[in-house]
Amino acid sequence: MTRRRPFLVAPLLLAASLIAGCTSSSASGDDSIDGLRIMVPAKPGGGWHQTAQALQDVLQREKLATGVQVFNLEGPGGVAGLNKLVGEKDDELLMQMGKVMVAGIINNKSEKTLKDTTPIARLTGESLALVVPADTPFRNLEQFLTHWRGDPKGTVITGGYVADVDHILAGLIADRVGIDPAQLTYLPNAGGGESVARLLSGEAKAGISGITEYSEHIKAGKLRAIAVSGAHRSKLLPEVKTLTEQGMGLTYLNWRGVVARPGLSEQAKQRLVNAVTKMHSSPAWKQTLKAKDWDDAFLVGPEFTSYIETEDAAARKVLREIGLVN
Amino acid sequence: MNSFDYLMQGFASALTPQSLMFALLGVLLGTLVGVLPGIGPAMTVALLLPITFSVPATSAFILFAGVFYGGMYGGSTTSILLNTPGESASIITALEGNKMAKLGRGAQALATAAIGSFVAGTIGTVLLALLAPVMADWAVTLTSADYFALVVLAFCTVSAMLGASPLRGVASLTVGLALGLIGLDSVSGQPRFTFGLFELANGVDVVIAAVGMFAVGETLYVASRMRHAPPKLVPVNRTWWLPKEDLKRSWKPWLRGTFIGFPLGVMPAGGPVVTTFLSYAVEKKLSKHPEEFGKGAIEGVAGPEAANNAAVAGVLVPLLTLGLPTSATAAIMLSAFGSYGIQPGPLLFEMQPELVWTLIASLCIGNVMLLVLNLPLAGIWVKVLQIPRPYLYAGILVCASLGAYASSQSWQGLLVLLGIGMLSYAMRRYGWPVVPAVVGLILGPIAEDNLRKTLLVSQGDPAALVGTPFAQAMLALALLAITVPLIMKTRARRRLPGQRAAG
Repeated sequence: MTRRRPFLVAPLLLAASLIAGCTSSSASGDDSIDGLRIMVPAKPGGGWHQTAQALQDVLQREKLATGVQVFNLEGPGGVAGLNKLVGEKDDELLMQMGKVMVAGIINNKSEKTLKDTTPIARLTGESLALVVPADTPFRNLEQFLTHWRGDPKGTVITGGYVADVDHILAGLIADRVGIDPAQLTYLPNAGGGESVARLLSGEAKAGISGITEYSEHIKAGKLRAIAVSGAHRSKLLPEVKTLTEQGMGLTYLNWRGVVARPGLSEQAKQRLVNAVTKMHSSPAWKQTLKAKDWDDAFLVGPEFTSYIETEDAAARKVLREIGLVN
Repeated sequence: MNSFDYLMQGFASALTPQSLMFALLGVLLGTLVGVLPGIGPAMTVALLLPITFSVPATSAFILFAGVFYGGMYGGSTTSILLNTPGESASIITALEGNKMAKLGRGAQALATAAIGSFVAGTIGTVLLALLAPVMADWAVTLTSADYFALVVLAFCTVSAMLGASPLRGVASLTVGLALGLIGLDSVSGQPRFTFGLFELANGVDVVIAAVGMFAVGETLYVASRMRHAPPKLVPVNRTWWLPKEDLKRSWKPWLRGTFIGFPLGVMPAGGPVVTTFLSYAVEKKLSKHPEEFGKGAIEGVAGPEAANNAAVAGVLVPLLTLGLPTSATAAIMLSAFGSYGIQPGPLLFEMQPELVWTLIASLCIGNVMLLVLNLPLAGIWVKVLQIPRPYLYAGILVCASLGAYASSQSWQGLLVLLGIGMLSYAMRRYGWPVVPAVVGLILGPIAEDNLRKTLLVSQGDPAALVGTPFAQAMLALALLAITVPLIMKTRARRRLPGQRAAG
């Protein structure tokens, strides 16, 4: 009998490692939020997850919250997470969201929308990059656009998921340069990182995604960036001009923020808003924004709520133009 | 930095206490499940998938790879001492190994299996380290059409070579493909087969499907035909090293097994199982003692056992460099990459060098651990078989339900688990292999995605599917994979009129 023991140890260890992820408790200050949870409605590793982790890190370091947990609930367009949030009764729960979710809700025809949540704050904005494979003849935006205008259907543009911000920006640029967005040939991928392979294999002529998805390959000389979408140049790619600088009059930021459950009391809402506002003014947060090359897009209160409505209308328009929704 | 520097760095992080612990846990679990019939590495990795929520990626893959390697070692023990293969890649080992045990040479059979596995595993891992970066560099140029052709080849080999009946294999594959269609269409973003249920929009969760297919199905199946007869062990004498004569007869089969196993593991050719059959046939042909085959020839143990371990190292090459699994366990490891948001493929070696090289380094270390665990302790591992089945399967069912709940965070996930478990039970009951279904579920969406992308780029021209030489070659191989077994079967039937065709 005693010999059998070692084999029981393995499953026990395993169970212990599973449980380890669930325990958390620590002493809390007076106005700090104890046991705050942040739901990331997507896979780990992406932009939402990184933002939630940065939030978790700074909130805890500034003692604005204790025992902060980040967890993932994957689903198309983040809609699974939204549905979960709408049914929640927890006051200390934030959901990471952003521009991608606005379009995801429309594209997935979700019954629940961001109107069913309590908006807390917009936090960051990230510029997108327009890149071409390094071995193509296009040296700059103008050369590429000339080619694109000449063969709108045959010029394959790649990026992240269908109806993602990458896809929408492709539609917006097409519209600006006089190409019918319905003619856009967009090659979707499970995330912007995967679009690199489609560019290197020569299947796609250009790619649009977050700058961080492409910056390594740009440095390695495999991809060439021809434009960034923000109002300012990116610190990661200082020599690449913005779309506006190149005469397109288009700025596009992939913003990210947090919302809470619907029906939150004014007091509970204020507590969350106060925590993120204090966090936003801390040096640690400024440091994080700099390190990640995120723009400060801080916006709270009714302004954020009405901003979401504007974004919803804009996304609906583009998705209709590129023929995804009717 | 070149590969060698990376590998040395990999060893540095593989020798940290945390990595060593996960490697040890992996090889222990792997050997354990290898020993137990009906529970294989694929099911175990599926049950372990929920740890991806709380453990860093590198640790999780060290664990999974340890299970994969360990399963190949453990499987031989049961085959030799019990004549019940603990694992499908050890079926052939039972042929000669159990005969050897009955002749009182069980210890030698176990030793040649363990040392052969070690030799092959080590050479295989070195080949993996050498080949994978080269392959990754080349694979960058592969187009969607090339990937589609590769996946088609994998479908053909998996369903044609597994199981006694190719028809059942194809039917099972179709079940998996149909399940894989549920959810959002990746190109248009429209829901398919969701019956308006939002819960289905994300598709059938691979964790739940794999756990349901392997673990719940097997549990129901075992419960439906409980036998209380205790297993009959062949007693083993206690020499744990090979006498000179046996060593002389073993080393060539070890090396031949390695060089049969590794390339076949790299190819989408049905995974480790096929290589054991091939190695056995080669050894039988080349042996100086052909009369001993079927009566306990040591070559028949040494070759196949080396082959299946080398194949495991080979399987990791396309998994890491192409994101293409060529065996069921690898398919489940692919979905684990997915839950970390890591996409295995040509860019993995550039984007995640620490992960890849630490994994490769810990495979070397795991191999040494396995040799130590298996050579002197084989007798103890067999005692695991005395655990009463109800305890064992009750534990598996608990782990399965926990895993399904953890990954879906809803009770609906448990319903899906039960539904797929019942389906899997029915498939087992009527002799349908379940592996093609799991492979279909995981590879189906990859195939569809690449098919759609190819057609999108070519603007609907199907000729693009055979537009590159690589795609043409892969589709030609796929055709061969279907036709050759059929032709061989017809010929075998003709040669032996009145007798049943083998296979």
